[in-house]
Amino acid sequence: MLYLDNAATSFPKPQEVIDAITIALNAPASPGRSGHKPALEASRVVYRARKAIAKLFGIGNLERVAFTPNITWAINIALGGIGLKAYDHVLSSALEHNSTARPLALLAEKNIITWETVAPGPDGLLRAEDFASKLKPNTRLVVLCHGSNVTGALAPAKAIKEAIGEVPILLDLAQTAGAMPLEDLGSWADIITFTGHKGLLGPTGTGGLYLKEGIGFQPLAVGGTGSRSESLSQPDFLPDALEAGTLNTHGLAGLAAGVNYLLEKGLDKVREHELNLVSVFLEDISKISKLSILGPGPGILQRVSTVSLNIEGWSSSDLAGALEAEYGIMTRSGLHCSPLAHKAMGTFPGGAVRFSFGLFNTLEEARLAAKALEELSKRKTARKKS
Amino acid sequence: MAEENGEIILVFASNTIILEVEELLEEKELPFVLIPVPKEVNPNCGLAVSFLEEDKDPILRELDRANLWPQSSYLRKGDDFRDYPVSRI
Repeated sequence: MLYLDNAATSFPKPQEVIDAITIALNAPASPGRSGHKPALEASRVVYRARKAIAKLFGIGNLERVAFTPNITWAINIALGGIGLKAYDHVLSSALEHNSTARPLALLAEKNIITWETVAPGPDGLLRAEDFASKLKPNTRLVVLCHGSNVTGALAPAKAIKEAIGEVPILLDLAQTAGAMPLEDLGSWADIITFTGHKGLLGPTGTGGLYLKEGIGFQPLAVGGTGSRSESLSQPDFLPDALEAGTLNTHGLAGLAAGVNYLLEKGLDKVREHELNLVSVFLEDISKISKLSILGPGPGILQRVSTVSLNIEGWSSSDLAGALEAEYGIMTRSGLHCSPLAHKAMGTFPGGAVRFSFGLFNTLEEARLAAKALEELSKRKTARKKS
Repeated sequence: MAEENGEIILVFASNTIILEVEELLEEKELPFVLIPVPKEVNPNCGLAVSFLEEDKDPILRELDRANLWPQSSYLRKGDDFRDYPVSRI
C-alpha cells in the first residue's frame, strides 16, 4: 500500500505516539477530577499536551489553549464566541473547507453576518492586498484557511494580518500545523485552530484552539470541568470555559507525543522533506500531456505537500479507484469537503484526485505515484472488472 | 510550649494553573505538596498547593514573579482552617 492521503489523516503514526496512548490507556484516572496520584498524572498528560502545543505555536499563556474533539469544533467555538452581531461583515478566503464554510453560511443564513470571500488568482494563490481591498468599516473578522486542502496553496497569513490591521484573524491550520515551523504565530495571530490527527501525527478526536488575550469566547457546550464544582454556571475562565466534559486524555497523550516528535525532528526539516516530495511529484506529472494541476504548479514553493489534479477522459472517482486497484495507491477523489475551493478552481462538481504526501513518504514513492498517473493517462478509462 | 507550625493551602482557579505551579516550584526545588482541596475551605474537587508556613516567603515570591496567584489561601493548624490572605510582593 502506498498511502498518499495524509491531508485526510496522517499515516503511519510514530511509535512514540502509539506508546504514549497505550501508557495513558493503562492509567486509571480522569484529568482534573480527583485528588489522587493517578488523577494528577492524567492532569499532567493534558498539561504536557498544552505545553507542546504552546511551544509549537510560540504561545506564552498556556491557559489560552483549549482542547476540543477536532478542528471543526474549535472553529465553531471561535466563531460563536467572538461576539459577531447583526450584519457584521466577515471576510474569508474562497478556499475554505466546510468546517469553516458551513458555520459561516449558517451565520449568514440567520442574518447574523454578511459573508464575503476572497478568490485566489489563476495560480491558486491568495494575495494580501485582495483582503485589504475588501475590508469594510464593519468587518469584524477575517477567516483564513492557512493551507488549502485541495490545491495545497499556502496563504500569506502574516501579510494578510498586516494588511487587515486591527481586524482579528482566525487561522485554520488543519493542513499546515506540523508541516512547517509556526512558532511565530503566538506573537501575531488572534485565533489559531488546529487538528491533532493530520500533520501533528496524533490520533483522531484531538484538536483545539488558541485565543489571544482580549479575544472573547463562549462555550458551545457546558458541563463538568472539575473546577468551581459548587456552581451551576460554567467557569468563565480559560481553558475550563471551553472544556466541558472529560477530555480525551488518551488522545492528548498521543498528540503531545506527536508534537514532541516533530519538535525534536525539527519543523524546518519536515518542511524541507515535504517540499522535496511534492516538487519531485509536480515535476514528473507536469510532463503528462492530458493532466491538469489545480493551483500552484512546479517551482512554486508557496504550498504544502498536497496536489489535486485531473486527467482528461477520467472522472476523479474512476482515477482514484484505478490508482488503488492497480497500484495500491490511496488518494482521495471528489470535492474534499471543500466545494468553495473547487468552485474557485473551476472543478465543481466533478472534483479532482488529491495526492497528499506526509513525513514518512519517500522520493521513490512520489516518483512511483507520478509514474502510475503517466500510465493511466495513456488509457481512456478504467479497466473493466473481469 | 512552642506554637504548632501551620500549613498554608493555596487554591487556584484552574487545574492548568495548578500544574504550572507544580512545574515552577519543582524547578525551583521548593518544598510543597499537591493535595485534594480540603472540603473545609472549598467545595472544588481538584487539587491545592500546600506547604509549611515557614517556607512561604520563597514560594510566594516565585508565584508572584510568574504571575501564578491563588484565588484563595488558608492556614491550617490541626483541624482548624482559617483564611490566610497573602499579599503580592
